[in-house]
Amino acid sequence: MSVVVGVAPGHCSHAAVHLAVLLARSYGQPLVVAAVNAAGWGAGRSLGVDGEYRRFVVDQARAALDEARALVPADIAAQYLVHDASSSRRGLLEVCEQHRAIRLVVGAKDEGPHGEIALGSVVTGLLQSAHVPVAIAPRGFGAGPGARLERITAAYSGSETSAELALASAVIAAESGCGIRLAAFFARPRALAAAAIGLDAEDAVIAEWSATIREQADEILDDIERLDPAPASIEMVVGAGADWGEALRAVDWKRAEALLVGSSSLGPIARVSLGSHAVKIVRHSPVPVVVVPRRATDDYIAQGRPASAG
Amino acid sequence: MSTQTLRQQLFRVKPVPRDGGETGSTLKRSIGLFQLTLIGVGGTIGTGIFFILSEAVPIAGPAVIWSFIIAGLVAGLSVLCYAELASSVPVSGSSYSYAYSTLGELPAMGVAACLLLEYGVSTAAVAVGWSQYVNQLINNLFGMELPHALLYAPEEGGIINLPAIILIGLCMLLLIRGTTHSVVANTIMVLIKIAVLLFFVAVGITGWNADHFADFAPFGFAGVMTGAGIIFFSFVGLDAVATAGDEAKNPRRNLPIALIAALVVVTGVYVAVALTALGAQATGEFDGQAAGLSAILENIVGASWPGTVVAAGAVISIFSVTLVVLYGQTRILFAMSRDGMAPKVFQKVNPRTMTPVANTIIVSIVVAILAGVLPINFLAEMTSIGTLAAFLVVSIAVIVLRRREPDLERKFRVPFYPVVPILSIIGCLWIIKDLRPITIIVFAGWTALVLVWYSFTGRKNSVLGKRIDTGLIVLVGPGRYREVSGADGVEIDDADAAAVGRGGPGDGSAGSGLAGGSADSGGGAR
Repeated sequence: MSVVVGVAPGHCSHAAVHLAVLLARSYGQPLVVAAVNAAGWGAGRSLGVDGEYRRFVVDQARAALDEARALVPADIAAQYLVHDASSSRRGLLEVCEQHRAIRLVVGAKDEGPHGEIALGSVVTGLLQSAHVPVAIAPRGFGAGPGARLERITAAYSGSETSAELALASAVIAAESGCGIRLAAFFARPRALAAAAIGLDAEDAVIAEWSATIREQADEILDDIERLDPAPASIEMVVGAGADWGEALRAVDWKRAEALLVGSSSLGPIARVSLGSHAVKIVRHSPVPVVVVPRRATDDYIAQGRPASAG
Repeated sequence: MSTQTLRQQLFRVKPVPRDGGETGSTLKRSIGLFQLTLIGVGGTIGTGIFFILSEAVPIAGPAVIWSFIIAGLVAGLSVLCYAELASSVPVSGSSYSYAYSTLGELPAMGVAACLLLEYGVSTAAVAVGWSQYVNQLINNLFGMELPHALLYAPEEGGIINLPAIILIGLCMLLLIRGTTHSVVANTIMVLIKIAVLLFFVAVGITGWNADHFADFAPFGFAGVMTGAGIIFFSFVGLDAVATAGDEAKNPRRNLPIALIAALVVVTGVYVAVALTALGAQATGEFDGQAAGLSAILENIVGASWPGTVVAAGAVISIFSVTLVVLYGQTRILFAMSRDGMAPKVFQKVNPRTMTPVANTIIVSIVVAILAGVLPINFLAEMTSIGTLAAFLVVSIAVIVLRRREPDLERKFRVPFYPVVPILSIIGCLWIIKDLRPITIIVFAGWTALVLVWYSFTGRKNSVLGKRIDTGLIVLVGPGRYREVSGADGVEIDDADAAAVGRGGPGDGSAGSGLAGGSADSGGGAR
């Protein structure tokens, strides 16, 4: 098993490599650094201009791998490879399969704001097709030398899937020796102006929502407390704010922390563009996010299933 | 077993959280005078003017101008009273919340009955008006009309008003998804509405014919007053200014200015539109005219495009009004449910959408049924009487509270007290008396029904009552309660107990301190 990190030929995402190192160390897994060569028309056409371009891209990929190599500390077992594939997305998925990855790590889009996660087309595609949880590093992420995950925060939405994911995260957190925190977030919607019921009409709704969420989360926290081994710490938190950015910033974050988000609400692209809560949480997360795609959910839950539960 | 006497039960007053709303949130004062005025204008224009003329002109004649001015004046007086109550009772929300915190549980239920009528029925009325303009728009754009049976209530010769039902269904879906309208969106809607009405005036004035004003008041003063009763519905929404007072900058100065400015703008626009319409079309032609403003323009110009512009503007703006009012209805029921005054189902919030889904669906179904089968003039009158009654109670509450709690801090005081509240009461009663008997009977029946329901169910389920019975709130004087901390019964507040029901900080609900970005960031560590 391994942690796979994807670097783009010609451009090594330092944040992604830092995150991959952090996860590999925390989970005690070797690291696979992969640069996917998606140029050209396949092996049969390596002559002429095509061939020249392919060689250029491979050189770029090697350069990116060298750059990554310099970032990986000696305590991490790592291998570096250039993988040919018809697309970056397909290539990364193939590497994950070949190396039995437990996490695929990628960087956020370069154009996004520093410290936040903008989703590029490759990452968006991966979220829809990956069979492993995809970890995304915010721009400029770095956890410090020798760091291990201090805590996993599992975003809790009140759905059954997110409850199962939270429990699985707790088991994985316990095995990695870090704490677990359940977090529910909300952006306080503005009441519809001119409804003549006051602009703070939403407060009562939010209070009721918060009570419901806490009640449900209590049951999960009870289950987590019974785990053996138990996570280093168990917490529940509700982050509130006028917008999603403020809601995410309203809770404290450790430097080496990951936010786990289930993608059951990410769904097809049409719904992503309409703006589900999960997408907004991912976008505004100040720490790396581990998105468990819908097809990876069962595997992830199985991976974190307590021994007593089979 | 209840330890309270019947009188204590009926007039128990909800203690007011010391620092603001239900969740103890303190909102930033961010709304300036201009925006506050726009909230008033936006909340008001659009609900009535697009289709109320065809209901009021046949009754009042060209003197409908006076009906508009009288309805505006009475609404203005009431809204000033509303503003005083909103600024002195620091709870969020509607006149229901104000009444619960000042007059007591029974009067609050009376107000709730009025509000349910006002909000629920006005949503239905607006949706019915919308369907007329949708039909007009479809006709202009595609040259076809919806079948009569699917456009009118049974009393008007149809079977069901389908567009109105579809509109409410769309609004329901948006509200379930958790649509948030910002003040900016509201501003845009207001501009569209005003632009469309100004367009109507600019084009309509070209068809001016002074002869139409010859028989100015065919039914005399009584006709004018009955017209004012129907038109009062067009001023619903002004109270939004008062309820936004919590977020208004310098409310003592800005609230009354914004109210008066909004009232002047709205009345001015209404009178201008009414004058234009009356000048362009003989009184007799208004009767039963669907999508009136569009039709008038088409008759003047002899082409369909001006009517299309007006119809499109009306369709957009009435849509937003329906959404806003439906939203208000669900949140009032939510507040009532949390107080134990309405079934618990209305307070259930879906964790995923963060909206009261069951509440929204139930309200939408009821409103859709009303919109589908009731004629518009009946709906308009029912809305008016609901609003008038709610304003009446608010005006009374101002007087009661001034006598009972003279030292209470009032960030805004009604000018010329007690003349304004008394005039407001007289004005509301006067308009009510001229409404059709059937409207008053249905209204009285509905209110009685709600009060009967209260006496059998709400009184026993009252959350406030239970907290008094279990010693979480102690009675310290007639009509006054002091809140004590939940677990050990220790009193936590003495100093402010003199004010109305002033007590401890909030009700200790899990949501305390959640709103407005003040998250309990490290909370709940186990």
